[in-house]
Amino acid sequence: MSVKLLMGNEAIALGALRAGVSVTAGYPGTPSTEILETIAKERRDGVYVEWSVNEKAALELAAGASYAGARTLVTMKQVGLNVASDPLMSLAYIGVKGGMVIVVADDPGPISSQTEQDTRTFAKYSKLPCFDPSSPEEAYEMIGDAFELSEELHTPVLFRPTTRMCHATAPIDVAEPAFVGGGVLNAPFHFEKDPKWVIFPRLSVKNHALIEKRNRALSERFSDYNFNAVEGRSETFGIATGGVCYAYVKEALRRLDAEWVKVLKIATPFPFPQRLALDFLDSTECVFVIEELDPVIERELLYVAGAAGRAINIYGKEITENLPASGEYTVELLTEKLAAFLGIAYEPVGGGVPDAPPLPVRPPVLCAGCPHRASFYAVKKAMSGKKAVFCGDIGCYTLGNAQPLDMVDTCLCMGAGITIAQGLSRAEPDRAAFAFVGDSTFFASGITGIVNAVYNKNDMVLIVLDNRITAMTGGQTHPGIGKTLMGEATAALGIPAILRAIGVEPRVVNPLELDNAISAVKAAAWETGVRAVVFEYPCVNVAKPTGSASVNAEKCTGCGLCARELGCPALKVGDKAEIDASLCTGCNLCGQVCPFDAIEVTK
Amino acid sequence: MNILICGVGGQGVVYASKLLARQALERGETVHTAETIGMAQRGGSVVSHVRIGDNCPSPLIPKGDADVIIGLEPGETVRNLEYLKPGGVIAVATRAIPATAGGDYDAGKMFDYLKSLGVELIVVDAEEVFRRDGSYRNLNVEMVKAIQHLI
Repeated sequence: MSVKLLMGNEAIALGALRAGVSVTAGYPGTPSTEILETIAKERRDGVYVEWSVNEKAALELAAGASYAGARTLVTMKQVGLNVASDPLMSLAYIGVKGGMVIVVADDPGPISSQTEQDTRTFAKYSKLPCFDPSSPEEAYEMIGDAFELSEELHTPVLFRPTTRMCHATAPIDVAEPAFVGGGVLNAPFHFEKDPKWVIFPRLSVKNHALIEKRNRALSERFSDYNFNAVEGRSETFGIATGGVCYAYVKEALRRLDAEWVKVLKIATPFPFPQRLALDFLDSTECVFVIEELDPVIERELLYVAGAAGRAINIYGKEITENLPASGEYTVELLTEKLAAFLGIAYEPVGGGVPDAPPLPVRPPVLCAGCPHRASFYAVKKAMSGKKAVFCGDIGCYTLGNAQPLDMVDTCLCMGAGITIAQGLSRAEPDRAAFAFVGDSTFFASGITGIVNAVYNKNDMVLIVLDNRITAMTGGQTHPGIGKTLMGEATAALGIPAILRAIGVEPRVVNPLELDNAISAVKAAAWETGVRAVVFEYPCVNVAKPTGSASVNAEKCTGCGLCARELGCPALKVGDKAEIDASLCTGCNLCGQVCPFDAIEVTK
Repeated sequence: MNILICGVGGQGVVYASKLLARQALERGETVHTAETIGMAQRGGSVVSHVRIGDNCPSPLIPKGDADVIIGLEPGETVRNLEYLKPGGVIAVATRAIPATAGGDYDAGKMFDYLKSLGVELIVVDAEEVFRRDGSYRNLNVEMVKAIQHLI
């Protein structure tokens, strides 16, 4: 044993490696990304890891490997499960041979996601067992249990951390050896042909009945699972909680000197440990349910109490509205709510910073030198004064909605901008419909939308922002890069070549050559049908800066146009324009915007 | 002991928290850390929470519970003041980083405000680091050094 400081996501990865995982796949998404990155770094020979083209591909690939008997791990963020839900729902009926754990990271807040959907609810809907760890330490142990259960019951298992747990660091006793079995080279797997792998209505109805029976048995078994537990000794007050909220509750109770309060911790929200829950309800007089996102535990407790005919007061977020229905919870909020519940006097903390001078505003912005800024600006200039609508998508370039660019009118989900633009164009034909899509999103779910446009003769202008990386999640590879997560060289799929194959001849332009970029967009806007401009320039986080710009004080009039038009964080205008050399990459977009040629780039 | 480190993306807030965590681990203490970065890229507000000792279940320090605030930037220090425990100590660097939304803000006013609070203030001269190293890169390490006597 050796103690290592591990981030929750690293703990999950090392726990999975220790559990003998052989095939791992996923798609980047905050807060889940570091799990596969850790597998890639820490794996031994024979453990396979890939960034799949999207979450559906990852899950299906893992299903195949599990059919052959390999233990598999799939990782994604919560909205990724929507993409993977088609194979998930059917795989729940078919089952697996090798243990399969699907890690789906939820994001209460949401801090960097489109939705606050709750994977515990998805677990109930898909009828799949779900583990909900409350700390990195627990996750390291629990993921091994998840693999064991999956393999024993031949079912995929969901594992659901949340942002605060994924990104928290804890000292963990890393067990030796770090690997137990696992690796396709070390264990020969074999797919046995059998009708059970082919989903048919008759098989589905049979398996459905078995799944319901299994889940009833699993509820009973989970009542004895060591991570589902009742702590404390109060015979009056009980708190039911799970996930990271368990940690918040423990901290809040300590602050209130109320560690005697009874706490039911739910580590397996589905199937719900009903016997354990009923014992807990029978030993308390009133219960406060504390959980972020959906009222999963709250509804289960109401169900258990109702089914058993128990009269007990259950407080929570849904019926009694004692807690917010949405958003992230904090120790501060829960301390206040628990004090009220327990009748303990408590002075709330954190009333802001009164009388403070105005604080600097630091909203998220595109980096200095970001090629997306140039692309957005080129489209903005090209379409200035014309009727146009701009559909955005998921990635750094969602930030193109901010002033002064203001070039994202819609954003929904991965790849949606391309098809939304087509719908807007059908409904409002005299307005040019643009769709911006990044390179990784293009591969993940953009291509089908373009095929749809060509097939149905829908009118649109596609703008591909190819910065040669999956930038938003920290720089992961994708099918256009020419390198796999295993570090091997592979074919780099060219976006222009794919567009040509679909029947769209793209204009390929460097967005930092502003005049060319504007001309390309203007030309595309004039045409009809499906038109495309591919802006190619690498992300500033992968490409070395080409130089640094400086202001010629004699030429600069201090008009401020550069900062006002571009909103680059390296630009500031007082009496004269100033460029922060520590941020500037020498992209020279501002140099091309300046009417007085006052900005010079030194290479 | 709870130490909150705040600053702006690119200043090395997370690295400073790793240093403090590694030190604590070497002393044989339990340590937990957490970052709240959100969508902030370079230039956004970044906060790291370092919790040393047993019985710190929450990954984040609750407001009013930080024994020390390490502020790599004066505006960010003021922004996070409500985390400070009564009697807590603030270590703050002198160099202000302009807001991304454009324009400077008045760092002098931030210092006047911090001084008016009547809390123990350790001021670290960022310009001295710059004179020595030719960059501000090691400011995070200097800040960690400046609070060693408190740990």
